[in-house]
Amino acid sequence: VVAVALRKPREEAVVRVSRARASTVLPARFLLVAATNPCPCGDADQPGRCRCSEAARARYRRRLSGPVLDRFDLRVGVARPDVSSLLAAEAGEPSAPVAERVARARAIAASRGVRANADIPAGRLDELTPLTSGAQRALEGALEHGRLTARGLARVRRVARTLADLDGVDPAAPLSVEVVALAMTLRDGGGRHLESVA
Amino acid sequence: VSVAAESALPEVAWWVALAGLPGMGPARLRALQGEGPGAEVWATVAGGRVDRWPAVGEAIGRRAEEVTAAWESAARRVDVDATWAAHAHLTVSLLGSGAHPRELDDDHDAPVVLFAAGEPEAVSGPTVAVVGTRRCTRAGAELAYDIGRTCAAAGVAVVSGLATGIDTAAHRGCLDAGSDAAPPVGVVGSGLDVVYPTRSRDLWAEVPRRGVLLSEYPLGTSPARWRFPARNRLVAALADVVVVVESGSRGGPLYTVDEAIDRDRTVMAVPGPVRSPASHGTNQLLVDGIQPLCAPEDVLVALGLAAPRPSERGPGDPRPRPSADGRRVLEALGWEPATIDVLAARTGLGLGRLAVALDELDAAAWIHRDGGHLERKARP
Repeated sequence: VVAVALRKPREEAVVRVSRARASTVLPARFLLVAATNPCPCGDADQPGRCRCSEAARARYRRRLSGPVLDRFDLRVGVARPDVSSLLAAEAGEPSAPVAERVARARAIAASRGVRANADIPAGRLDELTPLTSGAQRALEGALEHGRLTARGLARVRRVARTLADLDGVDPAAPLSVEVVALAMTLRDGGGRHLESVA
Repeated sequence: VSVAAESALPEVAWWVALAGLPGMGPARLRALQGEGPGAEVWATVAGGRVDRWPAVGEAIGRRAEEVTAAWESAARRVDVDATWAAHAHLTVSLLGSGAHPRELDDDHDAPVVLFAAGEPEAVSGPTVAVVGTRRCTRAGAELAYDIGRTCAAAGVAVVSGLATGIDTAAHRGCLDAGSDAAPPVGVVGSGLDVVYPTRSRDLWAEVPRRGVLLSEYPLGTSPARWRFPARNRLVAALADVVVVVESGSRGGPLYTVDEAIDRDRTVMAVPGPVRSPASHGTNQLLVDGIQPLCAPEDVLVALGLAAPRPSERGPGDPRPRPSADGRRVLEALGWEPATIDVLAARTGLGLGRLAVALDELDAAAWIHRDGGHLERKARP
């Protein structure tokens, strides 16, 4: 219910409150981060361990509606870490260089006249997120196969723009097939719908 | 019901009615069969005089009085003629009458009555039971399908329980083997008109058309939990070879294995990744000395229908050969589900190149993607 109620504010970045005498518009720009289990027991990534019936899994997934999911730009599958990696994990990249990369990407976005690439208006997509021919073909294929919706297309281009900016490539160069493919994979987690095993 | 009308009923009709009483299982029914002809047993049950028979009380075990009282009150409401008439479209056989499949007639835990939809002769040739967990991996389901298809094409009837997962995949393979292939044999734990699970509805219809669907329960019997182990013993009894494709460390498939070993059937298990919970049970069977199955044809070797598998390669894979990046990803993926960040770490590819490779592999049906988890596919 909450996720559905947040849909409009997420799109328009404002909350409209209407009461008997007045209607007020309040700013509501926020970043929504959410997590879900793959199934009620949480073990669906390990076939054989999961105790949920197929019907229970489908029911569980239906609780997040397609329109709500479509508004998440990044969806990442998370594997259960095994014991050895918990005890002797390799050190990841430190936060400081990551923060530096993000600041640089933000500065590039600002130079385009937007706060962040997510705010690039639809009318300026062709100008600010030009595509290489390979990227163009990848997106056309995804649209034809129903992997992308029209809303998804605009969002994928904005995410791909950010991925390219983070990579430090020429901010004016057309988007490569790699960043577009990655943006699509991040968007749908690679899965369009739940398929049965048998 | 007049005595004359009752005596016109065949012997098996009484056992159909008795099999439908609440809490009636194979052991209890066999104990009743030891006490006399069906009409007499029915009259004794309906008259509440089962306590005359200590052997039946022993077969029931605890709370015998409660059980027999339930039988009595249920039997008073049953019209034996109508019950028998309702089963007219099925082949119903009685233990000891010579009408049962031979494997079941000789069985120490035989069903007293057996209901068959389709062609009961379907079980007369060589048979393989393909069993495994409902919560199987994609690779497991694919192998079960291949075993079903290869065996049926070679004239071996495929026995399975119509459950979700391995069971279903094996029968689909059998049905896809063509019209002159060996028939499917389904054994279910409910009445033949009570489809369970409902996802099996199409198999439930197709199996009797092409082979036979068997149950030891009368029409209308619901799929109670205790009936599935009982069903598994029939699967084991009807099979010459039992193949376990995937199994957790506990569960129905291992019960079927026990029943098969008990009956001196050949048991084979498919080796799986050591960390895959869906292979814990099968790998343990291999440790215990069960014969491994590494290719569908191994079943035919075990049945003496084929020479041991030569080490030559089969026909080429019809899928487009993956690019260099694609091959790296497939190798890193192995046969267990993984996420994209795991693959990035294993391959050393950048996320962008990895995403392009995944799109290529997906388009060519080398992998399956579901909710952020990637699995390798054995065939398109």
